[in-house]
Amino acid sequence: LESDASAPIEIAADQLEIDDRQGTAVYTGGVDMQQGSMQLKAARVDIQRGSNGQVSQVTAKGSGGERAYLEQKPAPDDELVKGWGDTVIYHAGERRVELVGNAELHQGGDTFDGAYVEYYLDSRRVQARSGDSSDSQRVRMTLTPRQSGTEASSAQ
Amino acid sequence: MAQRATSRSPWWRRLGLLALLLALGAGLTYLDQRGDRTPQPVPSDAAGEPDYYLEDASMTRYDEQGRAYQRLDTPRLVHTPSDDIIRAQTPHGYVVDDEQRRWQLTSDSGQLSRGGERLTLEGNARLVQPEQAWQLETQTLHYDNREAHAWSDTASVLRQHNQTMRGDRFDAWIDENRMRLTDNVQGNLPQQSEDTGS
Repeated sequence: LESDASAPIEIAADQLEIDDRQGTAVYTGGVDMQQGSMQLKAARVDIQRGSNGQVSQVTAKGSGGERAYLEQKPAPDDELVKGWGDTVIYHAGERRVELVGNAELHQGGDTFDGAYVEYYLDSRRVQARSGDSSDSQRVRMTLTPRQSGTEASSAQ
Repeated sequence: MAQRATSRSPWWRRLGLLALLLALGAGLTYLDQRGDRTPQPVPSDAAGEPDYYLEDASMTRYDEQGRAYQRLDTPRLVHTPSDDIIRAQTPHGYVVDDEQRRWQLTSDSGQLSRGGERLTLEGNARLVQPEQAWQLETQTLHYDNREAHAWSDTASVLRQHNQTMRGDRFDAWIDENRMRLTDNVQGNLPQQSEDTGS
């Protein structure tokens, strides 16, 4: 939702480790992070803060074969957008999410799979690509035709 | 006749002198009594009879290089020989880390044990690190000088700027600038979106 960007980030976890010299705050153990309609679930979440003290980047990692998961409601009457990845990186300032490794995104009726999927929360733009090596995961997309025109989604 | 009259001073001068004497006496008596405040009853404690107590005390501890590494100010502290513990009322002070930064401490009451190497703060215990604006609030806070380790087993709230994090247990290794909250951790990190950010 539009108000998500200025909503406070609420995090619940088993443990928080703060290292002021590194400037890191790491939440571990069943981490559940919420910012407005956006929700992130992971085994570990690293929080980085910008010079203004605000959260600038959130890096979530799954564990034990379970990927990190993110969902968000683009607009009140839209379906949830759901994304999975071994690593999910949320760039707070740009409102951009990177799904890295076993990436998967469900947007409305469309699905995107690949080694890497990038999703812009506000513009709802999706970019997906395969991995660098030849045998790595290729991009697969499933676009569901709708009655009304859907936004073109570019894929490399 | 006239000679004698002048040598006897008039009555009102003598009365004045008498009044002056009386006032002086009253003043001195007042001052004298003010000095000897009746000492408060010697505090006894569950741990036994204290061997000394100090009022309005300021206690600073120094390392081998002569640098202060811990200071506690307290309106009243009591030492009990049976357990070699110093008990302080409303202590406030600081401990110093490797980078010579002061971590301020305050609480309702405090205890120094193990030859002063272990400090326990009880009731509204606070640990404040001004340079990085860290503040911890909890019920009971322990601090071990040798390991430069502060910890609490009571619900703890850690704040920095407008961010708040809480947990059931808290640890801080002040020389390494590392802190940890454990169990039921919740963080609240207010955000300002880029366009409203000031």
